[in-house]
Amino acid sequence: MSAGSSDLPAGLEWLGFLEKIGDQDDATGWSLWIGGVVVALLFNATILWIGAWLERRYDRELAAMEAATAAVRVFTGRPPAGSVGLPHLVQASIVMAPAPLGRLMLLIRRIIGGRVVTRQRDLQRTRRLALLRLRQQACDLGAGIVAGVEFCQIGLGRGRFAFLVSGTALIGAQPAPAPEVTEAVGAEPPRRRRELVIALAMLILVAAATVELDYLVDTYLGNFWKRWILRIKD
Amino acid sequence: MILSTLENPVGYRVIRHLGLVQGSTVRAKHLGRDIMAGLKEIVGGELRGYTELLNEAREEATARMRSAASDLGANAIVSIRYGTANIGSGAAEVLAYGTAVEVVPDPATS
Repeated sequence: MSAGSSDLPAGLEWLGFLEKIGDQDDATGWSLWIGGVVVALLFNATILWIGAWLERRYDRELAAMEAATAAVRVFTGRPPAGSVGLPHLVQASIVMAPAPLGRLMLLIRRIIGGRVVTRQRDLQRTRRLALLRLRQQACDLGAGIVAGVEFCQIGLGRGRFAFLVSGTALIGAQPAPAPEVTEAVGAEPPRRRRELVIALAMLILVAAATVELDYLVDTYLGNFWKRWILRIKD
Repeated sequence: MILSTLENPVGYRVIRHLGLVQGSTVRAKHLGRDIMAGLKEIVGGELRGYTELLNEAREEATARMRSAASDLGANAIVSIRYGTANIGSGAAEVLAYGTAVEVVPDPATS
C-alpha cells in the first residue's frame, strides 16, 4: 500500500476504500472468491432443482386430474349438431411464473437461437391447467360439453403467463362415449434431465467466467483506482 | 339471466337483439401479495395471489356486463368475450363484452 487514506484532501477521505482493492493477501482473496462462487452455484442449483421438482408435480397433477374430467368434451365453436343442455357460462383463470430452468434455457436460446422447448412446455402446461379448471367446473355442474371456448391472454407483469378461459357449459349434455383429453395430445414431453445437465454446465461456465472477471478487475481496475487516488493526492 | 359464449344458446331462440353490453374493471393486489409473488417467481409455479386477482376481476367485469344487460331489459347475453389491457406489473384490466338479447325457449332444439 503506497499511502494511507488520511492523506486524501478534506472531504474525499471516503475514497480511501478504493485503495484497498486487491490489497488483501492473494490466497485469502482467492479462497473467499471461490467460496462465494461455490455458494452462488449451490444456491442456483437448488433453485433449479426446486423448479424442476415443481414442474414434475404439476405434470403429475395435470395427468391425474385430466383423466378424471376426460368425459367432458371441449369445443371452440358450436357444439356438435343435436347436442342439448342448459347453457351456463364457465370461466377459469391462471397466473404462472416460468420455471427457472425455462428462464435459463431461454437465455441460452437467445444467444444461439432455435426453438425454446422449455418455454413452450411452460405455456402449454398453463393453458392445459386453465382448461382443466374449466373442465372441472363443467363436471361440478353436471355438463358433458363445453362449447365456444376462448382464451384471453392477460399482461400481468413481465415473464408471467396469465390466461383467462371462458366457454359455455351445456348442463345435462351427454358426456363423451370415448373419453379423451384432446388438448393433451401433442404436448411437449418432459426432458428435464438433459436440460438440467445443460443448465448446470451453463452455471459452472458463468461461475468460471466470474472468477476470471474478478481476477481481471483485481489486476487492472485495482491498479487504475490506485493511480487515480495517487493523482488526487498529488 | 342466460350467459353464453355462443352466438345462439342451445335450447333457446333469439327474438330480439338489444346491442352490445360491456363491463370492465381494473384491480391490483396489495404490496404484501406482490412481495410473496416475487419470491414465488424465483422457483416458478402458480402465483395464487394473482390467480385470485384475475378471478375477482373477471367476476366483477361479468357482473357489470350483466347489470348493463338487465338495464336494457335483456334476459340473455350471447357471444360473450373477454379482453384485457396491459396496465402494468401486478395490475390487470378485464373487459367482458357480449350482445344483450331477448330469448325464448326453443322446443325444437332442446
